Amino acid sequence: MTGFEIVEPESLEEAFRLLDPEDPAVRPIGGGTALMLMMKAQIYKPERLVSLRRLDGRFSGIDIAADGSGFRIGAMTTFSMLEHSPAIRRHLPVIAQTMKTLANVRVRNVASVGGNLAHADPHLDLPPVWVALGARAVVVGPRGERTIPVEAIFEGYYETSLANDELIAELEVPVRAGWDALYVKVTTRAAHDWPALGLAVSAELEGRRIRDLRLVLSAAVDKPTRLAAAEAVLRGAEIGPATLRAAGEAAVAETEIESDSRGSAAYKQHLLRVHLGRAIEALAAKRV
Amino acid sequence: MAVATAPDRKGIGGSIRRIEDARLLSGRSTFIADIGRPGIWEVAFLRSPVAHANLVHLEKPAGAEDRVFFLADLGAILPIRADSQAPGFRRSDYPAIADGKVRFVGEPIAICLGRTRGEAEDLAQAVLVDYDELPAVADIAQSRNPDLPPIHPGWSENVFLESRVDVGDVDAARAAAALSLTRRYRMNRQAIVSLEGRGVVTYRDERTGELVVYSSTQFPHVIRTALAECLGMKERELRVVAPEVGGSFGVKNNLNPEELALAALTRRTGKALRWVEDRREHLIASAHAREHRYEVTVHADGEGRVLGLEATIEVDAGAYSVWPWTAPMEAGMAIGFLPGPYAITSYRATALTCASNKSPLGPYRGVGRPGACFAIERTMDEIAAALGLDPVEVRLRNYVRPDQFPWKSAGGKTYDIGDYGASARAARDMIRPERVAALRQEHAGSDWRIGIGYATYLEQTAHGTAEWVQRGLPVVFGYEQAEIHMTADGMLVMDVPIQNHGQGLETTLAQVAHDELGIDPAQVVVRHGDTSLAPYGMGTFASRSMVMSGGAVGRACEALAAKIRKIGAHLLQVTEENVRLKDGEVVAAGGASVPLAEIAMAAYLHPERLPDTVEPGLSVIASYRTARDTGAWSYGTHAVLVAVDTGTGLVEILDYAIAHDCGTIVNPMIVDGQMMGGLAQGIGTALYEEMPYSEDGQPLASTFMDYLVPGAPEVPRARIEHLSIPSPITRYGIKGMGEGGAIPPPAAICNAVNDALRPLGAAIDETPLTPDRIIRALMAPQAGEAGA
Repeated sequence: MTGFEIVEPESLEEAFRLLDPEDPAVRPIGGGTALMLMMKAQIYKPERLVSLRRLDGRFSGIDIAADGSGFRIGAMTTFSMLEHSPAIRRHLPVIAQTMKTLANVRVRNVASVGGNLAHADPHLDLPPVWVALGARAVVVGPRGERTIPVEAIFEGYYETSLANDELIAELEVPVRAGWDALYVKVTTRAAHDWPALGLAVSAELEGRRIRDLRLVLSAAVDKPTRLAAAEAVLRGAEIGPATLRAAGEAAVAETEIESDSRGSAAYKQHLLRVHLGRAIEALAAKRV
Repeated sequence: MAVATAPDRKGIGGSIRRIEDARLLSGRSTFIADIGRPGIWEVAFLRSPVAHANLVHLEKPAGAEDRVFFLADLGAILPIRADSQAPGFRRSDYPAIADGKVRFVGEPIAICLGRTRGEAEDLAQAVLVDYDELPAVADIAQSRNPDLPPIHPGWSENVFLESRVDVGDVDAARAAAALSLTRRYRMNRQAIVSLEGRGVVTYRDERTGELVVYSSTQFPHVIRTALAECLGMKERELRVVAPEVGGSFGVKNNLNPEELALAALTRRTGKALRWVEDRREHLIASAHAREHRYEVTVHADGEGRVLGLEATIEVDAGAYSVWPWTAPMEAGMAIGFLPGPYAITSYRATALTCASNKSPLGPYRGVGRPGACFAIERTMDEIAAALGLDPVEVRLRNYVRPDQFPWKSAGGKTYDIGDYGASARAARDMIRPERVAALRQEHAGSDWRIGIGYATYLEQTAHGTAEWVQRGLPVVFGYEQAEIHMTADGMLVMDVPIQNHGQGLETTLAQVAHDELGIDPAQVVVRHGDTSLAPYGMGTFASRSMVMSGGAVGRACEALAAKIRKIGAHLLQVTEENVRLKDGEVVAAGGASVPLAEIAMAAYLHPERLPDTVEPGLSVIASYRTARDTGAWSYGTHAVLVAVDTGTGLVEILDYAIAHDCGTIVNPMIVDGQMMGGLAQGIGTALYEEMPYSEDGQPLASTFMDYLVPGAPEVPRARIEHLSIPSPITRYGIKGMGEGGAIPPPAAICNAVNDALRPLGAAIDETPLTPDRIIRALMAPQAGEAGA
């Protein structure tokens, strides 16, 4: 491993000064859990890493709006902080549920919410959950800031819509009354394996009728992907075997799933059909 | 036979806590990566990124010429040559680092030195190599493809050896059979995952004139012999030490090119060197295991009795024959063990050992037998299913009966003793098949299917001269030695050439000493793994150490006890016949006693207190071999209850039971631990572990993200019953048992999954039983028809 410098700016202005959008060997680092693995494998050789851990203010903290309508989550919030936040547990229980199968406590203690999004590895568990929850990201850069839906961050495998000098500062996550959500991490082999597919579902149910929903597929595709056609089949529909089968077929038809060591494309398509149905049934069961 | 397991028992049969655990659990011990020397250089190997290529041009980075070394820089050095004595064997010379050609991804090309490993790795990346790529042989089916180039010079086809067995009258069996079945089975290639990877430290000890080689190995003396030959050195010029070894399972039981390369470079340059294998190297460049394919045809009568067995066995042994095992050993074991515990007298089989552009195949816990067990035990279930019989009943009709021992098997092995049926009945009683109907009822209408599976295994252990000569290896592992010393203050130091890498041997050998000398195991120190400490010996593998080293320690202690009794009787002024050794003392019939410390003091520091007929000193060296050297045969039956999710193909183990016989048990707690560890690896083979290669010979699992070993959630706590029929051919009646736990789980689990899927018309006969493969089996046309 060749030498590199790590700098820890204390202000955003200083951070922007230290970052260099033209130089791929200069990168921001959050928790570093993914970056360190890439560096150890010599996939990435940095010259300068700009740590965001001393940036306070909007980069840290978990705040709930006074009227309870949503959360503001700083991008440097660690997974453990999310996992153990009583407010998150109460209003966004799907986050705590997801943490149970997400890596291990050592990783959760350092991995950051923003870094997790900026890394844009489609196997990660939280990004599809944020998308299913309708979260938005506040992105800051030297030319100002913009707020975009989380799904708009991702453009493909490790590819984002962020400019090289833009940083994710915080997330805005709505708390939607009457909605429920769950995340299904489908490991096809051992429990600690990476997912063959991740499926995040949020829905507003009325008995067994689906008033509205969001379906997000990850891991089997190159970025967290809304399953719009499957959503359309289910929106307004009564939950039943025929509807769920139709939604599963729609989901398979609208996605491009590739074979890898976690399973063939055909197998992952099969899993998508099975788990989509099981997830909707599980949500319905929770509401009863 | 019940084993004495009284909690206060310290000798053979006692579940005493492991003596070695304090240093291991507190992280105080010394592994390869903990060993340093002043001025030591860290080594990174430049490894081939391609499967098969001629090296057209090699160039060292400018300015680093003195830190990059190719084969020509290492001085006179012979390649590793593991020749099988079997007629027709094709030789492969395995160079320490590439000799103009690379034959698998991961093969070392250059040694690169740095002050840190990172610096050495960066240097490795700067070496210029021009590869003239050749087509890769990446599958067994291609080994006889004449369009592919030979992997080794002079070869006419990429096959190490084809061997045959033909005993009895298979044609008559076929003619007489009411049932003839043909099935194909595959056990795919695996890595051998030890927690600690391999590693080597080399330096010159100017005081002793020795080239010192620390290696994470299972057999230091044998490595010294092999290194001496390859380096053209005298054995006395080499010292090989295995420090604490963090698991090995066979992967550290070969002479590795890295050991040879570092030793040669230190000899040439005088530099102290350290190489610590990283996980990627371990997964792609350490020896691999398994990769068996079978076509089995069985002929049976209407009651399920096997009349004859036919098989074609193919094993992909990779690019080189590993020393000392030789490439054909794996297939040779498979053909020898396929008849299993059954009284099969007509057997015709072919075993093909193929070469490929993959990492060489080496021994891994079970060696050959997990594949053979998989094939024969799946076949027994298929017979039962075809005839509508209970699978245990079919086995009971076919086992070698207790009155038939010693049994000369159709595979050429001699089974010593056992009651295989008792193990099957005990496993069945534990798993309780009668509950399956209720479980199936409970899950009716859901995606879950319940299945039950059995597999009986044989584990030849502690085999000696006759067996190893039969296998045609370059080395014959016929015996073991031990050298013991009582210290002047009455403790016992035992220097043994075996190696303890997790088996608890320091504890169990001390328990043997307790039985012979009455000494408290806490007063016994076992030193191992160092050619400078112990007399020559063969090391730890093939489930041999408890029998072989236990036997040598027992014999040495017996001789020492005789001397101690003589001295004790003299000090107590009684006759020798009237004293015994007990609780650290020599005790006279009347009750008077003298402690071992006092006897030791007389023996070393006060010879005037010794009887005239006794020489000073309390040291003994003894060697041991078993009464018959065809092996002590452990065996057992595993029974497993599974649920298969037909929606996802996931397999859940609901219950697991093991009934086994490993003869006299030295420490039941350690035996249970060995069983559980073996089971974990067997579950890995059955459900998770696979080392796939692409068509051009690229390994596709080079990190733990791609190569899955079972974790705690995947390994159930098995219930274990010990049957314990003492071996008639070993001291104390001990049978080895280090490998047995890993042999039958793939067979038992696959049988259970097939039992669950059979009503749906689906069958699966390939490990690992990944969910993907199970779903494909469910979607196969014949499954659809039967299910419809």
